[in-house]
Amino acid sequence: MIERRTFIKSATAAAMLGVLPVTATAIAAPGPGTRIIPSSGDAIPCVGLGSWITFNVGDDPVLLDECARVIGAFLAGGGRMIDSSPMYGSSQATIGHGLAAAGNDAGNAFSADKVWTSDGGSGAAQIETSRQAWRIPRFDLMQVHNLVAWQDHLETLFAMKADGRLRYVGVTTSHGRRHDDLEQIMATHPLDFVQLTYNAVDREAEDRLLPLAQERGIAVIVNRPYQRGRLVEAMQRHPLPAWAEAEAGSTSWAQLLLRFTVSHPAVICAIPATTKVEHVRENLAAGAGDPLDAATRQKLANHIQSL
Amino acid sequence: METWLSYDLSDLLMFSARTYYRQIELANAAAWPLHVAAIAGGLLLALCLLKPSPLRNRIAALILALAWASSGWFFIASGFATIHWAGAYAISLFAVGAAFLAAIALTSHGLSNGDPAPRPAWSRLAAALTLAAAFLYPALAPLSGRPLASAETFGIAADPTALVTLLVAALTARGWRLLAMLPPGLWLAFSTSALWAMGSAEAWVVLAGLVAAPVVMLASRFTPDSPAGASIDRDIPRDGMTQKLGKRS
Repeated sequence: MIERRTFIKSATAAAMLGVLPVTATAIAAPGPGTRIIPSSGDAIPCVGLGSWITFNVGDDPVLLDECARVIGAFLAGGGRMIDSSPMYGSSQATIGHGLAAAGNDAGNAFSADKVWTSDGGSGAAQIETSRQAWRIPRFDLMQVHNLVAWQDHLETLFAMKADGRLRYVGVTTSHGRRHDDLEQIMATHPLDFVQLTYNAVDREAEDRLLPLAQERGIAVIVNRPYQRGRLVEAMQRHPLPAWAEAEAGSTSWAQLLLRFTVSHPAVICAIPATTKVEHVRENLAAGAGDPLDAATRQKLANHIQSL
Repeated sequence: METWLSYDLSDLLMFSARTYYRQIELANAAAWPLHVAAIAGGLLLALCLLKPSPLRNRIAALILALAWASSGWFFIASGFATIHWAGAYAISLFAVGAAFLAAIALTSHGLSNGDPAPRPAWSRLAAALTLAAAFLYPALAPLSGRPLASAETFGIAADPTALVTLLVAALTARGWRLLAMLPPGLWLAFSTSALWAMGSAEAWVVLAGLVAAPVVMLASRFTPDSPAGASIDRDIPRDGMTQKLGKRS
């Protein structure tokens, strides 16, 4: 087991000696719509871009260009974190296509991907394949997808980080799966990031994982902030609460729900996926502004529960 | 295994309905004008089923083999495999299905093993189901509000090809040739779940074919007046007599 303090000392010393290359990724200026990554102090916009299903479009030139426009609008609008996985079909190649089309804005992307293979020895090869699909020099963040072969993969990822081939290491889960295992890994390994499901109705993470992340200085990425769109669809059958705009700065259910998620103090970034440019802009707008306080968040959760 | 069990159906879908049907559009565009040959193949297949004979049974198997190879290339390998990590398995499934049907076509009796042909009523049903799957299935696209360009055609798209194969094999195949039901059955089971997860009403059509296949297979063999039940009678002449026996009533 590697202790965070030990690792940070080693990494700092290595950087001072010029062993670690300077990151090529731009660092966002701290502001209302950004959060600080605890392990580095870097700021990052709290609304990212997921790629599950939406970017898995194969070689379809029409859909590839649609996705490229989404990625372009996301980066041009100030978004940075784009998340994918080898499990997501052609999504990685779609992101590579989108980044190539984004021109100078591509340099602002914070690349977050995952290693997903039950063969612990083939993680490095899979990461290299993913990197080529993204068409980038290296990843900012590499996560162990759904805890698959996590012991072996974490060893690989920490080694890559120590070599300067990776900036951050993380572990993911979703749908509330294996929280006990995730908690144990968070408690015993110097992770930079964890990724989990959290939204106004899936709040199990509030009990132990989010407080533990704050305690351990682990940045939390949230997947499924809209439950793959189902939550927004369900809420849109009801009127937006009268207080939504005045108290939560939200003009739609999508914004209100996303603001709930990114306002938890442990959450660094939520990664809603979309195929529509207007949704990207709406999501980015939801991330701007000060986080909701705990009372407003609870008010929203209570309201949704009452519907 | 524990991890796999934790996924639900929608987790394994991986693609949107729009992406899926766009892949069919692309397959149609790439295959055109092979659709004309596919339609001709469907008609010829129905004719072979309506008037079975050893030669026609072989031709039927050959048409199905070509349809599997064609849909395996145009839709599975060129489209589906690019959006699903299990695409390589699907390519193998369609390759095995095509090879198996081609091997059946090389045998002296094709799909039949030389036992008496099914009663005319079952032959007509096989032909009708083939025509329905080959010619009515494409209509599901406009009926579902999708463009005609995404119509699924026998011999180009996977679902109608697998449906025709499954139903034809269920009604006409005998002995080890019944294994020809396995590849289409596996594909249609996957397809049903994928269409269901996509919220596509076509899941019901595919599921209906999947459920109907074993039912018609058993019914065609074990209904009291079915001559297929008499196939255990070793005194019944074979080959050239098959047609005559098929018309006996």
